[in-house]
Amino acid sequence: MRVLNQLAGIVEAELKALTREAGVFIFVVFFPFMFSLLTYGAGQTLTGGGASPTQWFYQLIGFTIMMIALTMSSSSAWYFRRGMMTGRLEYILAAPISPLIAVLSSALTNTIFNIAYFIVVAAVGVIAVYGPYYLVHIVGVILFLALALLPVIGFNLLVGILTIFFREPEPVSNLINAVVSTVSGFTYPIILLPSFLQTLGQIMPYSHIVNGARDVLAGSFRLVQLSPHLFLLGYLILGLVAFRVGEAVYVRKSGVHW
Amino acid sequence: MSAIACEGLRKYYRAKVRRSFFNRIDSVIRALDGVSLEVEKGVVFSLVGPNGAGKTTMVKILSTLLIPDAGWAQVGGYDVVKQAGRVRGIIGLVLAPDKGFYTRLTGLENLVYYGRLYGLSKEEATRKAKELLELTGLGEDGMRLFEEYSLGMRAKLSIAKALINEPEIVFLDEPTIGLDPLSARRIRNLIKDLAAEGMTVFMTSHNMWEVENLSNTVVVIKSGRIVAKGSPSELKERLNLSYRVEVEIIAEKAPDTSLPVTTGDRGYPVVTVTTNKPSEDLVKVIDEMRGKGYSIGMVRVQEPSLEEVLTQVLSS
Repeated sequence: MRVLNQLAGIVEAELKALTREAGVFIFVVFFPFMFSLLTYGAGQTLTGGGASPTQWFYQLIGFTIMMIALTMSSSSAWYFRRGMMTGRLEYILAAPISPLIAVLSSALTNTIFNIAYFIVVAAVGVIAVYGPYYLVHIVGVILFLALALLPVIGFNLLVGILTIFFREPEPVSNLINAVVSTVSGFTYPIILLPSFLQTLGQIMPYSHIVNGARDVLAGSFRLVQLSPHLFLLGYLILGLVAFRVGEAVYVRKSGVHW
Repeated sequence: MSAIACEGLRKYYRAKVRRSFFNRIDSVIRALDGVSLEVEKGVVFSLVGPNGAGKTTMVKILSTLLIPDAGWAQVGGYDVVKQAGRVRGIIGLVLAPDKGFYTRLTGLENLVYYGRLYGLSKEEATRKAKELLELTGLGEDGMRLFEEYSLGMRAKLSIAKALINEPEIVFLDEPTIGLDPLSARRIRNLIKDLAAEGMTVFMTSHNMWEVENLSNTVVVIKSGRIVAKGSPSELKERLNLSYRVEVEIIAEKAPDTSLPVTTGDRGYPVVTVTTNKPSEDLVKVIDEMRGKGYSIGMVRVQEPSLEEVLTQVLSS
């Protein structure tokens, strides 16, 4: 019960703080529309008007999942960084709460926020391309993302604990985000990449998330497509183990009571 | 059983000092170097000393944020390293009066957040937060966003935060720093009230007047070592600091005396004596002046301040 109270308290505070940053929400909503329309316009020009609206939808969902992937991969890192800057982290550490619970609560908040964000963008795309009838697939995509984003929390924990050592989130998160953006097929099919990059893209969760989300919204998703996601849950376990090991090493090396 | 006890606490920080692009040397900063002390329950205990003396390190070790390199410490009977979870449940902490809050949440929402970190339900945390907003004088301001708060309001919210879990012991690291006189007075009154209710208050401060007026026990720390310890009056007695006796004479000119004479605020001559026996010397000066036919306007005996104690201890 105590842990649930702690978790709910952090989720509520973080969600309130996030939703009061209107500028952030407006930016993340506009970003995929802006870039997908740009690439769609370029496609129309190059093909002499031959680009179909489904190709715009492909880009729209790709850019949206890319935003989600990038923010979720480094949200724990920024949680720690902001905590260090504002003094909140010391107060969390001085309270009877496990840092893992605190960081998982923050990751959960981010997941909820990002799913809500995805719904807003995807709803507009679905209505524009497939018609309002397809909005029923939004329920399916919520369930799909709730499962498919769990491995990303594992990545998130890994980047988060590395931030404790490096003290700055950028060196780690920028490197991971650069690789993820390249190999995950957000805006182009990964079969266009060299084979080793395709393999890298396949073993990370992001290409499966973006393809799955597109298929669920288009009504072409098959249950067999869930199987890689079950294996990808290994990233969550890996992230949890890495976080625990990182904590122990940090305490031993720094003398800070974690 | 004492509220806080520690023995031989040592904490060294290792840092790399860059002398040139390729040349870095290891440097060791002795933040605490064998500190032992004991704090009774229900008292206000102050740790004072110059910047970098080790005060904040001490607070951070006792509040379980840092692990000492050597020695042991107990808070509320629990070991700060082996039983950190227990210690965290019974302490409240203020490290910087204006930090630690979500700027886009209200004061009330921030307090509820901290209450829930201690495992309180939403209803309990909200009830407690409202009580503390009243106690600290924030009241309706609890509904305003933290980013709109003045420094004084932030300091009050910090104290409220430290009390959200009804702690037995509170650690306040310079709780009135940067506050205007009225806000600082409110915080000081609050500290007095907490101690009167039986809470142990462990504070650090650079304001010696505040320390003198609030504290039952004062410890002076310098370069990580304790250099003086006792109640404010004990410290003054032990150092045998002098009192200043001033006797104002109602006269146009300075009286004929071998004692030092200055001109007072009201323009009259003031006979001034620095002494360790203020009562005897005061009577002597008054007798001498009356014997010479002078009228006495005003007398004043100034006690040595804790600031003088600190100055003497730190410079010796």
